[in-house]
Amino acid sequence: MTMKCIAPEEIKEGDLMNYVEGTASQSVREHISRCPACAAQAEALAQMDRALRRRLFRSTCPSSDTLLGYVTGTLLPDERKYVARHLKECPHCAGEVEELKQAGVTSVSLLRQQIMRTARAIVEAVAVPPRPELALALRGKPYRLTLFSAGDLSIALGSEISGPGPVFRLRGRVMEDGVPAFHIAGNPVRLTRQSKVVDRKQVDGLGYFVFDRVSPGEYGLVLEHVDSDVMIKNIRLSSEWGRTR
Amino acid sequence: MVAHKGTRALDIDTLILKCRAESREVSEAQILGSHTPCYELFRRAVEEESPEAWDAIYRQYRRSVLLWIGPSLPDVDEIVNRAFAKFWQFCPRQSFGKRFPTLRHILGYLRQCAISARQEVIRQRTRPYQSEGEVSGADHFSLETVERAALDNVAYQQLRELIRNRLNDEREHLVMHLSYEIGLTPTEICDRFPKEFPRVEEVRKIKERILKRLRRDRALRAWWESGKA
Repeated sequence: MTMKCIAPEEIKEGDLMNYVEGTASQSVREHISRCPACAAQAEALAQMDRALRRRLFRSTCPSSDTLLGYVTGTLLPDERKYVARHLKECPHCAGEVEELKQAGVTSVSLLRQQIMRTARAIVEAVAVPPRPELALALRGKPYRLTLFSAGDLSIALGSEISGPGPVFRLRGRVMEDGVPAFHIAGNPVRLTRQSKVVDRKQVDGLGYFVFDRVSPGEYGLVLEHVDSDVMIKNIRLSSEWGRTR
Repeated sequence: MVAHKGTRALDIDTLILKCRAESREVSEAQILGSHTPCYELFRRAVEEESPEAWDAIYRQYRRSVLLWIGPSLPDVDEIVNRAFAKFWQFCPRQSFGKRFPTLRHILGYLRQCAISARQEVIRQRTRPYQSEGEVSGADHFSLETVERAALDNVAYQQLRELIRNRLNDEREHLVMHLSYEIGLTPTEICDRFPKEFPRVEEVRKIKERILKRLRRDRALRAWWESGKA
């Protein structure tokens, strides 16, 4: 059975909406507290209001990519007109567009400070005389190797001929303060030749990395590490290097 | 404006090395220039589509993008990836020099991409509905996400159609749109559209009328109860 309002003359159209939005007058609030019919209707309107809000809010707004295109001037004329029209009615998109515009005109001095603050370093590793035990530190047969040092990190790098051609196996082990650098497991290592990356590997759980079937030539190697990368230049793989270096 | 011949001749490893060094001690003149290693690195990544240059840019500027996004958001790595994806997707390959005459222009654009990626994520968190066009960045590769967004979009179109058919005139359409799709309060509607709605009471009356009608509507009730909401 439908409930009826106890005093219809006390409430007019729009008052329930006022109540739902929390802006109703004292007399309307008092009426609703006394009238079960109006209280139920207000609750039903509030539910519908919440459901529509949840479902429809910003559903017709242009995508973030479109707003970026609007700010950077890459939209087609029709898209641009649509966004401009939308911005007149939508404070959310207008705010986002304003923020994007501001981001594009950052002052040079601020940009400079930010870039310097966040710059990654690249450290060139230098060859140092190897300690005798390093030969045993590498897995497999003992062979000649070179030790490179960059700050706290050192990289022991050795090669051997692994197949006809010849092709080489280039192995390395990363250490920190003289002990295996277990915490850099998973860090990428890139092998480059003539400015191109020819292979990528990761440091394993014991600090090792291996590049196999590497052709003779001159290579570079980059190990990614925290805020800086370690670069080794001029790694020459030739039958002579493999045997004697 | 084009990059200086000197920087163009550098091999990629040296270029990366020089860009790192430049970034650590960058001057305002370098930011305003186009003959610098960092500018050349961006040019190679975009114009020549060099994966090595792109990889170096990601590693070099990732922390700057993080700074621009701000620290308070979870899944910040996903936002960083979105920022770089936007940069890559919308960067003009054919007119790179014209669009970006200096490093400042490039970094300004990267910063805009970072802000846009952050806005996108905040939007998704404040609004469950997501249009197909907004599935981007890392989500692009998830079939499940794309399917969900497509289904969501169909359900949303059904709801819109149901509501549209229950509205009586242009003013009701406008109040519905401004109240729920844009999210304006009745007072804000009057402030922004004084000609159409001079009195706030009028907006509230129209809203109440619409909600009462929608609440009584059987088809709409069935839609809500079907779980699509």
